[in-house]
Amino acid sequence: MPDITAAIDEAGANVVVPRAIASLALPPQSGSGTLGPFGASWSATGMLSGGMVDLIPPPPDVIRLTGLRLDYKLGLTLSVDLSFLNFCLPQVCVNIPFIGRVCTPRVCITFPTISIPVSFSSFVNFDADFRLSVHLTGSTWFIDAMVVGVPLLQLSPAVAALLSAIGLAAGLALVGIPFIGPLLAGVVIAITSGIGLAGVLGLLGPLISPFVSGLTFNVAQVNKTFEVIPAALPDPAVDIVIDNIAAMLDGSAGEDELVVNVDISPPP
Amino acid sequence: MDTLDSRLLSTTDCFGRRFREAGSYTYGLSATPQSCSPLQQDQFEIEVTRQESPAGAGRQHDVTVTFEGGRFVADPPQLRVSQGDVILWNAPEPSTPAFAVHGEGDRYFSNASMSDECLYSHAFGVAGEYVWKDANGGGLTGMVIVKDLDLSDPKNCERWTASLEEGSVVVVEGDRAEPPEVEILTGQTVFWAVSKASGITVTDERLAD
Repeated sequence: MPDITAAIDEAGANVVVPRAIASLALPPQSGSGTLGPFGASWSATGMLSGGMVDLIPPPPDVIRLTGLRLDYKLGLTLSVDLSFLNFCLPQVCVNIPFIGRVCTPRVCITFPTISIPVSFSSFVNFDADFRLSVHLTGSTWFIDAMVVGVPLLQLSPAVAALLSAIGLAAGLALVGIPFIGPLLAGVVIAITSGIGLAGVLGLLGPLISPFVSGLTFNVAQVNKTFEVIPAALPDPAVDIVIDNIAAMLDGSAGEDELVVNVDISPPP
Repeated sequence: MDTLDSRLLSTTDCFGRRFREAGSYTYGLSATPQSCSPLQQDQFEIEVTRQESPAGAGRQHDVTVTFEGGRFVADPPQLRVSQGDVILWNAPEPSTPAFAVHGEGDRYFSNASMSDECLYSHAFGVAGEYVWKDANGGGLTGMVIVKDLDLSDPKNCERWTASLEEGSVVVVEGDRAEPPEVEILTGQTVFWAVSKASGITVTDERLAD
């Protein structure tokens, strides 16, 4: 028999868990490589919120969160070598009454490599199952919930939007480059087609998935040495030592609950 | 951003001058519109021989300007032309810094101060409205309207390609430019032919003040 048993039902879990989820600091992601035929560097930040909690006792013994929302901000810088556009203006000749016929030389236009900064924000809703994990780290007991497997993120809607944002940013970056004006629409198409939906998905998937794979949130934590306050005077507060914590999902009492059993002992 | 300024010439600019008087001319090339740069410049020579060409019948000689070892170089460095011939300066390499041509001594001539029988050309690379004026304080002014064509229409593509070989001429006489307004397509070239003026420039008004 445990010395102490505490429990919260689903209504309580729906207060505790979303609060824990929202306070998570997801580590930012960054990297560089290629995006289609172009060089690229990227960084992303993410924030979780929401989620409805369903406590499901064994089997399958999971805390199921439905309707979790991951908001993410993506900073992408594309490096586009425009030399494929290089062309030469032909010789231009005119007749000037007091000078005569004058011709300009043929002038070749070389286009630079440009950086195209793209800022993109979006969100994705997903469901995930979590399993309880209790561990003592240092002098603190942690009751964590760790995601089971890798949640499936439906990124397809964001893929099209990001490709569109890349096209828009490319247009803005290109518009001031001399001699590109008449070619602008075609160049934007060349850039977005060169990357393609598959290219964007290939970037977005590995960049956003780490925010949720291995996701762990803390349900509760307590010091190993714990001060117990009496219900009424004149008993004084006393310290106890938490020797063990077991956390589980239990539906045996007719309601699904998150149950914590604690073994304690007096301090040495 | 397209830089329209006859004071300093880049790849898409040319400066030309008709040499009416026989004699020896020397000139330098500098990175500033002023000729009194403390930096020592190389001198280049033009020998104009007596062999009057009728007005408008002179031959054209091209001088290519490059930048080597920190100095502007004219090729050919010496040029022998006939009276009435036209010399045209241009830097074909985009890496060449913008430059100015300065004739020396009594026979001063310069793209930074254009007077008789000279020309400045500029190929416009960016669509927009370019109000230009004389940055040397004269009352000369005009406008070039540059438009992009939608090349998704194949007919426009052909039209644009063909248009690149066509130039527009603005004749400058005193403080008057004719026509005062020119409309062209991106990539086309405008020639300012200065018949007679007192040291003018053709400068985007945003750069002139």
